[in-house]
Amino acid sequence: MAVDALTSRPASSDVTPDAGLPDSPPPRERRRGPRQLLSHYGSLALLLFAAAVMLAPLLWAVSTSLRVPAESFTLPPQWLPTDFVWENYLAVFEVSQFARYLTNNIIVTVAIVLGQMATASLAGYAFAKLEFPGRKLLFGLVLATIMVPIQVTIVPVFILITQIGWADTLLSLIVPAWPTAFGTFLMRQYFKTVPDELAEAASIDGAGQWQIFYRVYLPLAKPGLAVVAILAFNYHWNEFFRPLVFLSSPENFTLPLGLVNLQGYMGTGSISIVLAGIVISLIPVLVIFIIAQRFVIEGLMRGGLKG
Amino acid sequence: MSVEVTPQLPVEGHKESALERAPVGRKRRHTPKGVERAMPLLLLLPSVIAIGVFVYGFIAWTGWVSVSNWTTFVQDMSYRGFTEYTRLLSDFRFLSGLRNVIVFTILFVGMCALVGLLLAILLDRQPWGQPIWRNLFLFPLAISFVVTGVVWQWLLNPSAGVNILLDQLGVENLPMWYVSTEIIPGWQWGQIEVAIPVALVAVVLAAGWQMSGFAMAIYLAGLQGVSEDLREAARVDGATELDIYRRVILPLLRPMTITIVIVLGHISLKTFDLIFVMTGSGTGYVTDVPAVYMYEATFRANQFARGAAISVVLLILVVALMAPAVWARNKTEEGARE
Repeated sequence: MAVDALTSRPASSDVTPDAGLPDSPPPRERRRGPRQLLSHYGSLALLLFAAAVMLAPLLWAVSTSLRVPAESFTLPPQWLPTDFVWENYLAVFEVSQFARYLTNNIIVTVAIVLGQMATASLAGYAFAKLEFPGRKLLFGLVLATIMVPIQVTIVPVFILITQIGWADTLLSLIVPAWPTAFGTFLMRQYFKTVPDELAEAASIDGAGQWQIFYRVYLPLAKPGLAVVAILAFNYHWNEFFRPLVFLSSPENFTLPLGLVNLQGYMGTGSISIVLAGIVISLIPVLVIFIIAQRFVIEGLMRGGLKG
Repeated sequence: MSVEVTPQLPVEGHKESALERAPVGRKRRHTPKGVERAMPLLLLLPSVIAIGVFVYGFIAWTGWVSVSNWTTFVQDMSYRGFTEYTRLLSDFRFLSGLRNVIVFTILFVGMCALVGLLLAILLDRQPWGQPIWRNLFLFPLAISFVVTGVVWQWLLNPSAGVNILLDQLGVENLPMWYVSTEIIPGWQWGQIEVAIPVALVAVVLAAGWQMSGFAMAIYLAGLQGVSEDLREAARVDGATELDIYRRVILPLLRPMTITIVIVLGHISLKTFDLIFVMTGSGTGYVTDVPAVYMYEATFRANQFARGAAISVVLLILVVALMAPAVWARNKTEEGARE
């Protein structure tokens, strides 16, 4: 797409200061003709519409969760709550072991995230900074496992954990999830941005290999750890398939499993209680998302755009 | 007088440092010895062994099960042959599931890419409050597929949800959403109709709602990388805004599109949670997908060989469809680097 720059006027960057912040695009010359104004407000209107469509299902969920249970199915959906049957939220805990589902989810997710941070940083460092034969091939093989559908390995894993005696326990979810190909990939990316000279300087100062890793590189890769932690938290908080296969007693259920249980139990009778459970489950997700959205986006970008 | 450069000898009494002892011109590094040399292995061993055994080893194991006699609760690993695979080729449910997952992937990725692109373009032109909009559209990504499934199952329930609204607006033929058994259009091919099951559209809507934000984020990053100078130059050459988008910006976004196809594509081929929670297999298997079939065959019907065969086919499907995309991505990157 050759655009003849020789015939153009001086580039706008010559006349406007370059304000290239990572978050906002550089300021643009705005010719305030009627067409530009229409386009400007037109796109704003479209954005509002799109935002409304995006939010609508969640608003419906919230307002329906506050409805009298018997009516939740029949009356037309509303965006704003009309009744405020807060009792529905208490009912969630009475009708099911919701508090246990929440606790189990927290335990499992936190344990998995901590383990993944450890394995990903160790393996990512090794792939990024240490040289050994077959490094590229090995990393490729590790990376390729991201595509493997979980269905292909679930049965042997299930048999294995049953033989160890971990069936129907939270351990069965936690330990097998510790090695992470994607997390390794992310940490390797972050470690690669740290200059090699630091290792040399440290070793001249007498540091051993472990210290170089632990005291020099790891602290510098903290943003990477944050991204791995956030993405892993999000994925495993919402995980459904493995708990479905591995867990059988309701008191061991994790949250998504518990929600489906709740739905099977109450779904035809009273969707508002089920939706109350759903809204409760969304709160931690929302909180984490707000706190960590910068890291989420960065993780998406690195996972999506590079490598 | 010729100028000669003589290497400087160390001054008498000067103690050599490690740095000076190292051979000139080669990378100076603290040479690892013993345990330290094994350090890479030690760091990697746990993860790599885990992945080697628990992924590749288990894939092989599952492959063996698929050709074994294990068709009941009792484990029987004796060799049977490829019977299971030939049976699958004539199995109505399996073929429907294959058709469904491919149709679903195409529609889902297409919807996400389109919606994502539109949103990204809108956001790109609208610097005000951009982080707010961006987070708003990204939030559904953080939600569980279970939550999406439950909410949208209610929203698109033919006797509740959206249909009640449509009814109030006076719409006559209310859509059946995921209850529909229609397949449009109906091109018969062997046992199944190769076309779009209307019920799948409901699932595509739910999944697209959730994941469009991802495509938007990727496209937005790409759009923000397009320099204003390029657009300005095109404008000066007489291009309209539409031209600029079509001829200049869209081709530059091609790597982003490939990324989106790869990531969303392999997620959708493996879909389980959303279908399982939202619609199940559906009447006439209009919303069945291989992942759900595998689960029910293995863990409900104890047909382990069949479940294994399905998962092997699923693996091959993902690899076969994703490999060209990944190859295209590598080619684009190389082209961009030159």
